[in-house]
Amino acid sequence: MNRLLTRIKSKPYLWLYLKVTFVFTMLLSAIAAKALLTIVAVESNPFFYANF
Amino acid sequence: MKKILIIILAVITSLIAAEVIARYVMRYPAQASRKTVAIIPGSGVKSRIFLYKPYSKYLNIEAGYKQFTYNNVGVHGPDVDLSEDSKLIFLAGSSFIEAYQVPSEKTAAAVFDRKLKAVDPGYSVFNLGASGCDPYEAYFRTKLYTQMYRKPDKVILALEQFRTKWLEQYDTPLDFDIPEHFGKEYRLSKAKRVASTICEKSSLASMLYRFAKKVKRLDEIERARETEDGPENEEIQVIPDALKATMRQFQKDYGNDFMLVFFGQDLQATEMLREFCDSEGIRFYSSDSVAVPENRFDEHGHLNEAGNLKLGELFYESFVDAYQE
Repeated sequence: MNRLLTRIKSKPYLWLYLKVTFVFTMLLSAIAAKALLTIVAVESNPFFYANF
Repeated sequence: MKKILIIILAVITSLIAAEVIARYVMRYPAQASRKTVAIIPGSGVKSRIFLYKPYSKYLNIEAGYKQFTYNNVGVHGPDVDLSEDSKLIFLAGSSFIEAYQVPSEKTAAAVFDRKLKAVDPGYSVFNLGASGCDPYEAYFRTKLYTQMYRKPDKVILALEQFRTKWLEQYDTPLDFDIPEHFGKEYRLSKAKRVASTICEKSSLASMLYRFAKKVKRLDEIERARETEDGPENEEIQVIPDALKATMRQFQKDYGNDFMLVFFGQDLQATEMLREFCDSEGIRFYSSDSVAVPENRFDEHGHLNEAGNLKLGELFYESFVDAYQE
C-alpha cells in the first residue's frame, strides 16, 4: 500500500487528479445526502400534503 | 494549463461518481420523462398538466422510500385496455385517486378494475387521478384523454372534499369550452427545457432540483404542524358554485354514464351533495368509512393500502348498483 502511494505521489499530476476527484466526490455526495434527507423529511410529513 | 485541465477532468470524474452514488447507492431515479400540455382555458400555471412517458419510474416517500413505474399510458394504476372492444371507465379525482403512495396493483383503480374484470373482462379502468387536480381540471382531463385515446363508456368523479380553495383560483363563471390550445404541448422557456432534460438524464440533478423546491416549504409545513391544519380540515359551509357548475357540465356531457362518488367523512357535506345530485339527476354514491384515520398514512395523509382497497370496493359496489343490467 505504501509502495503504491509512493509511486502515485511520484507522479504529481496523477496525485493531483486523485485528490481533486476524491474531494469533489465527497462534496457532491454530502450535498446529495443532505438533499435526500430534506426531501424525505418534507415528503414523509403528512402536513406536506395539507394544501396539495 | 495542464493543471487546470487535470482539475477539470477530476471534477467531471467526481460528477460521474456522484451520479453513480445517487442512482445506485441512494437509489434515486432520474425525473420521469414528461411533457407539459395545456388543457384548461387561461394561461396560468393551473392551465397545464404533465403527461408522463409510459413505464417511466418515479419515487414516492409518503409510504416509505419506494420506486414505482407508470403504466402503459403513463399514469399510476392498472394497464389500460384501449382496444375498441373494451368498456373504458375514466376514474377522475385528486391525488387520493392517483394513489402514488401504494403500488399500482394496490390502488383503488386497480381494485375496482380487478373486481369488474372478474364479472366482465371487457372492462378497463383508466386512472385519471392527479396531484392537485380539482373537479374543473378533472373535467378537462377526461376531454384530453378522450382526444388522445377514445371516448369513455363511463366516467366517475371521486371527491373527498369540495376543494373550494383550488376552485377559487379560476375565473368565474367557469368556462367549459375547449380552448384553442387544448392538448398542445406547452412551450417552456429554453432554460426550463434544458433543466428538464438534465433532470430526466441525471438522478443527481433530479434530486437537487427537487430539494431546491422542497426546502422552501419546510417552514410552511412546520407552521401547519403547529396549528394542526391537516389536509382534511376544509371548512364545509356550502357547495361552491364552481363545483356545482362542474358537476352539471359532467352530467351534460356524459349523461347517465357519469357518476359522482364522495368519500369524505363530513356528513353535512355528503348530505349537501346528495341533495344537489338528486335535484340535478346525477348518480351519487358516498361512504364515510373510507378516509378514516386507520386507512390513511399517519392518520392525516393519503389513503394507505387498506384505504385504497376500501375505496376500490366502494367504486365497484356503486358501479354495480348504478349500471347492473
